[in-house]
Amino acid sequence: MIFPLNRRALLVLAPGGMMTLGAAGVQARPEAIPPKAPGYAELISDPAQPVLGNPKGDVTIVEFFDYQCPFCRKSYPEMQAFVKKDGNLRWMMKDWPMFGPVSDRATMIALGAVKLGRYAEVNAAIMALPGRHLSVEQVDAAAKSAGVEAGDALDSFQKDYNSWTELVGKNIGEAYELGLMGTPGFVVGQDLFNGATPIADLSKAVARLRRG
Amino acid sequence: MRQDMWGKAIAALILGLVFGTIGGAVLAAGRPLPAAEAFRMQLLSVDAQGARIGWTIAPGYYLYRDGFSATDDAGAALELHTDPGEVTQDPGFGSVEVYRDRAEVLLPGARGVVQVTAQGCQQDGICYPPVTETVTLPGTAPPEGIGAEGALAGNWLTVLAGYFGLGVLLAFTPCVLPMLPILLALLARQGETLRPARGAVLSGAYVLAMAVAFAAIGAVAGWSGRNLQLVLQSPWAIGAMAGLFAVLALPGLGLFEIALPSGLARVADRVQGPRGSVRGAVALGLGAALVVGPCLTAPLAGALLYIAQGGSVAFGAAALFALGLGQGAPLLLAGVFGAALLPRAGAWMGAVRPLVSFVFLALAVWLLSRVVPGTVTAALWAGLLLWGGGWLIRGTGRVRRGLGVLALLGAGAQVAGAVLPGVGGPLATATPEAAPGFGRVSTVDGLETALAAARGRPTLVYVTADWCESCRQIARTLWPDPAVGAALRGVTRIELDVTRADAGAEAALKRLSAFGPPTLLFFGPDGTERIASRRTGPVPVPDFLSAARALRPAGFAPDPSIQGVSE
Repeated sequence: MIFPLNRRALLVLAPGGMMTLGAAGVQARPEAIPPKAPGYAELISDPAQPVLGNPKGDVTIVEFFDYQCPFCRKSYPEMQAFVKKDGNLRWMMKDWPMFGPVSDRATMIALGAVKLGRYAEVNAAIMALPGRHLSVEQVDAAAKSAGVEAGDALDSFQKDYNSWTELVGKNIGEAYELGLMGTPGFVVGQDLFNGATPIADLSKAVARLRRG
Repeated sequence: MRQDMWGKAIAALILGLVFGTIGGAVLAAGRPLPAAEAFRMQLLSVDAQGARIGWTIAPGYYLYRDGFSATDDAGAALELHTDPGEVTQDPGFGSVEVYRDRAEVLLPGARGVVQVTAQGCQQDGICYPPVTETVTLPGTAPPEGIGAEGALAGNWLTVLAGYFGLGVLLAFTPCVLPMLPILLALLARQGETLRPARGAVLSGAYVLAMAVAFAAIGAVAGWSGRNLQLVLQSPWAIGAMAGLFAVLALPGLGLFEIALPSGLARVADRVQGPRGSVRGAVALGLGAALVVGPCLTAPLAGALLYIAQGGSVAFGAAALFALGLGQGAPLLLAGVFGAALLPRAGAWMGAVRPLVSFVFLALAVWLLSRVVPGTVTAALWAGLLLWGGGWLIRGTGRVRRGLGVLALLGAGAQVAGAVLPGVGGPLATATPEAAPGFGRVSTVDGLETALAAARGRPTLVYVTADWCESCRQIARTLWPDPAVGAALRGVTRIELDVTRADAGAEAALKRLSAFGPPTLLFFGPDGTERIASRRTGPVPVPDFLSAARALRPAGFAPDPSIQGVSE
């Protein structure tokens, strides 16, 4: 027999469902940048922060990430494709190393590669590594495959130690002030996305920003 | 029939809840839970095996098995055991071992206060930075060897000896040095009848009284939980003590050719007794506790920590008594040998009484400088130097007149420093401005507001006071250091100023569970204090830097030479 939904049952069902929906549905994606947090213009303006995609693009996607964060790595190829296809996007990957010394080392090597002119390549090579846990050897090998010796990148990082650590420290401060709870986190215009985010949502946020 | 209808209704309700919950979960993926709600930590048990700490994990979230760590009070890593977790094979990411619903760690042999760290993610959503929480393990003695301030856990004889040694070391810090002129003044007043034995008796009484006062401070603090240090640094107590020194100085003032009202002179005579008496020595020794009170933060904190963790009040007091004896030991030696070395009689005797007065007045001004504005202090110093210089210059002998001219010049410099903005006289003490980069608060409300505003950023809270000698040392060594500056970049700095030592200051100290200045407290961006990094007393630069490491992962101060941990 098919379960008959009579009026009495509906009376009970409706509030039950709405209550749970209502309670959870308050926070729908995306969120807005909190009033006290640094504004979008400030987030995307630091000249020290390396940029992927089209540096002269009209819209910037800010991503807070860790080199060992599984969701950051999973979405990386899709992001790459999205940014490439659009052609007019700046992709700012802000380091928020939170998975220990190997993540620290990956950040140091990638930022150290900026002055060696191979940031994008090193960043992509480390993000493309397999496995949730990375080892020092894997990270160093990835850098090498991108044309940079880990030692050279670390020396380069060391030369600008103060400005790099200040940049990363600032990134982390921004992440907390924005109310980001971890990695990944995205900001496009006034839209804030906590956690893994479908490309479609980011694409909509980009379109909204372009419409003005 | 009725029954059937109810059955359907209940089934419908369940269905509704299920669909509602699923829909809710889908929407809720829009905003992950805060880490503290996703992973709820609790202490499960403490027994012979060790402490068990558990986490309740919200549905749809997990903790990494390799994401746990624990440290003791001093920041040293603790042994930690976990059971096998759920191994998931991800085609792209290999094998990962996680816990869902609940996780448990065992810390064998953990004692006292521990900090446990866990790290996890929301399924397909977000990965959190490590979450660190503080747990006090009940019924366990504090771990041994947490530095001088917490050394009360060991063998009692060792502990007392340790506090004695600490006292000896303290005796040579700037804040205890004024004890020496007080004692010498006391001995000098004895005049020609001073023999080594008499010197020993007088300085012994002085030192014993001081040690008893320390023990009393410790006992009262242990019983009441109140920090007497603050009470002792209140303007009333300081004013009273400065007044006592001023009165003691009065008899010598006769030589400044100022007529004293006879009543006052009698009071002064009664307080100090006829010729440096034991009674006077005891009074000065008790008062000395007030003079050196600001140096006591670190040892007092240690003793109180011990008492708070279930130790006996008497033993805490005994430790501070030993501290006082240690501080007094060099003074006792000075008393005995000083008495032997002083010439028996001669022209110097005439100079003793005004010198004693000068020392006592200088002590009074020095004490007052803790509670009065800097300009007033400068004026008092100028007045004192003018007075002393005037007396010296009227005497005979080149040395004496030279010293007089120097004193007068010093007085002039003090006046110039007080008048010209930004110069500051040579003896200017109070620093009215907050340390560089620090926002200053002085009440519990101000502190709460500042801490709330600092949330999301790593934060340093620095408890200080104008009357705190060790704080001046910190101001000289720590803040100007470039390495310290680098470690504090991007760190919110809050200065809690307890100079006024009022109820607001006490409430603020209580909020931080801090004993007094100087105390340095480090807060992570999550607003939790990294207790292993708390520092009390003067802190050397390397120690500060290692404590400041706890501000990671908020800041980023990696060591490029570290090879990392290969999995």
